[in-house]
Amino acid sequence: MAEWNLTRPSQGEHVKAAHVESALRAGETALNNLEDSAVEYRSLASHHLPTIAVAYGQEATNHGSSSPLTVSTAYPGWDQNSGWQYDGITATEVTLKDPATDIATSVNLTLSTIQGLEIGVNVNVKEIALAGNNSHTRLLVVGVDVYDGSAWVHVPKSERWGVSQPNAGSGTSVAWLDIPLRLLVTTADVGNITISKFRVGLAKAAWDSASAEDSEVVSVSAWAAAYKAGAL
Amino acid sequence: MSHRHPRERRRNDDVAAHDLLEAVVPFQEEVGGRLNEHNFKEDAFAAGEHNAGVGLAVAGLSEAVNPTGGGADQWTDGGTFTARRVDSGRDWSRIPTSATTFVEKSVITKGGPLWITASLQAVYAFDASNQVSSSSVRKPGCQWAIRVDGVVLDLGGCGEDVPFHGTFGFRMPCQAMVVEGLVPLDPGTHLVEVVCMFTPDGSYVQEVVEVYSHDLIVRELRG
Repeated sequence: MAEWNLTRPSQGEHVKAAHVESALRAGETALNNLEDSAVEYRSLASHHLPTIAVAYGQEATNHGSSSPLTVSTAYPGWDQNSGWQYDGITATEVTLKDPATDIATSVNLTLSTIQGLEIGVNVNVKEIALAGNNSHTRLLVVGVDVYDGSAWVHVPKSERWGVSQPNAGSGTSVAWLDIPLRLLVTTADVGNITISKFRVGLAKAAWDSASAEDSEVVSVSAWAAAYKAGAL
Repeated sequence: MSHRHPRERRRNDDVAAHDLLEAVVPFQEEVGGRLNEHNFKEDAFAAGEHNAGVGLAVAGLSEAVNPTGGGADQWTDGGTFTARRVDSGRDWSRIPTSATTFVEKSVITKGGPLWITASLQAVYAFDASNQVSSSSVRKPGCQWAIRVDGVVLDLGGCGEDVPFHGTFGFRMPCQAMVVEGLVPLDPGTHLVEVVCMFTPDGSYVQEVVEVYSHDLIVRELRG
């Protein structure tokens, strides 16, 4: 609640400049020291306040089930920022934009007013182990890199994978599965960097001593958003 | 509280104390009340001017778990991560990340609803001791859910009819999973957990599941 301490002139007293000055100063002080309780509960609406979103980005590519993307690049190893398969899907690289201007922007992860960059990815898979050799478990792996302005930085915790299906041994390896991924990328994951874009990598792998086999991807959807937010 | 001043226009001459008080005191008293939507113009606050926690507060818990070990593109046997195992069972179980830690986050909220997202990689970690040799046996998968203060939310989760293995070779059923939901809560301290339960199935057999890399994101929607 704002408190305006007004010194009142006595009745009959001539108003002097000091009185006016004092009254206005007191009002100024009151308005410059507003507390939470000075503003009525739920009185501020969206037309008063700015959006809390500071950056966003979204891309999606649908190859279709009749002409899916073949993933033939072998998994480059744990925590590698290159060697994934990126080409052929525009959704694998997503540039961050300012929601107010739609101009490219970046997110400084070190700011205390931003708790991280949220990234979501969905990869729709048609087939894993394309050659039909399913005597072992074959994998399609998804991973995310973020760009710090000069280099790509891998986010190891982003790695997810799907497996070939069990009935593959009887002649088919069609999987039809979704590999979903949601991340809150912070300095703990990638260091004190500023992120301007990210990309989605795909790769084939296998369990144990099996050799990896190609897979087919129908679509990739990827989005990111950063919000002005406090720590919970 | 919309302010309308002056209530009475003054003549262009000397102002008496009474006039000043009549003009200013109501204003002073109203400012001493509470400001509201009438006192702020549209777009009164530009981006960057409000405190970070006004609209949203966020907490995260995550871990990166390396699944490889048999070579650059070869995953290891799930038995490597025994400390991460959830034993088979029909009850909701916490997900261990070590002997003493779980996929859980304690948060202190101010009363806004929580928007919770959990993303994880699950591996049904059969090993030599609990492999099923018969291809006719179908194993139940897991349901995944978010539990807040001991109450499992109706967030759906997902079950998977985990494939058999044995006849066609060693298989490691894997599942990338996202569960998400919104829950209203009173202000205070709350425990958010990710839990799982093996789905009931007529041919239920012993199995375990392990959670590898994961992300738990808890957002309080304020304002």
